[in-house]
Amino acid sequence: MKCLVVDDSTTMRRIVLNALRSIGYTHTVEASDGVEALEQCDGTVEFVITDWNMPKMGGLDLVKHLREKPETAKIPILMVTTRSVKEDILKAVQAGINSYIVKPFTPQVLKAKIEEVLQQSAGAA
Amino acid sequence: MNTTLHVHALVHEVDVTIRLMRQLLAAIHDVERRDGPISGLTQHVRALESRPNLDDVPRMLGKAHRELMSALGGLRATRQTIQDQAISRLRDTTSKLSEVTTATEDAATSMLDSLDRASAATEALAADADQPLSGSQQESIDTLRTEIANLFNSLQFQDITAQQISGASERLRDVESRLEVVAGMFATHQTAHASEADLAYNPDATLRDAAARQRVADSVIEAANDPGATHDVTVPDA
Repeated sequence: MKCLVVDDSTTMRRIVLNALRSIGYTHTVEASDGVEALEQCDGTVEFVITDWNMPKMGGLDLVKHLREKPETAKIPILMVTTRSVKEDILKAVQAGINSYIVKPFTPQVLKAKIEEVLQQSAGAA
Repeated sequence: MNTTLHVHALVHEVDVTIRLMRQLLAAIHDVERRDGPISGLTQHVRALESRPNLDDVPRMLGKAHRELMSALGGLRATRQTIQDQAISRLRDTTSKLSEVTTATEDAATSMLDSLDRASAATEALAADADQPLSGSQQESIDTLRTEIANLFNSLQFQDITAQQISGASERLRDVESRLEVVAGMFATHQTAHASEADLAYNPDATLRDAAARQRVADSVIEAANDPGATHDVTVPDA
């Protein structure tokens, strides 16, 4: 499964990529903001993990853009962010995320959420 | 013409006007002495003569002007102090905070590189063993893997503290721009701010209570995924 990791922090991208690797997801691509992420979504990306606060285009707008385009409308999206206010989480839900992880997270939480989202997507398909 | 010249001209005009009024009053007295009282006018003249401080008006104006000039001088000095001290110190602080972010980012990158190498070495150790690993050897390898994963995970502090520092720097820049407005003769303009959701950082980022905050997120997601529920959900506070 090809997973796109979107975060403006190089450190965070490496941490997420390492966590993904440790749970068996090795086919990954990276983007440092929403604009780059949209360019990466060439039809082969099957899972998106995105931060919220980023320059150029933030995660919320990225999710909205992905949901608007038919070819990316169904991609499972996991938002990983420091934002934890209920209103923010609801905004993300309304934009179209599948699940939400609050930073700092543990690899176990990441794994559980990925599995949960993939199960939901498989069930919905 | 500057303010000082305006004030001097005004003082002069008031002085001349008072002198003319005094001459007018003297002329009215002469007329009254010669021809008898003029109806009602005597009362007005006496009232005007008895007005206190009329002679002092030019002096008072001059004094007020000097005090005003002195106060403005003080304000100019204050403005200079704000520009020279406060704003430059704020800029220094912002710049130092930026250095902290860069330093922690460099350190985190260096640690991630080391952890990558440590991880590769651990896997090589496990793979290169000539014979099956003993129980304790396998346990050591597993401990190393776990500790490396924990260290990787701990480095999330860098992203979170960088966002906190960005938030603090932005507030310092806000204070700086407000001080600049004050220094620039108390204009009322305010800097336009981007919506918080559009910022490249979260000013409220924190390392605290991650588990509690994750529970809030889970509750919201669970409620959102419940077909019978609306998005107006009640969830526990973080």
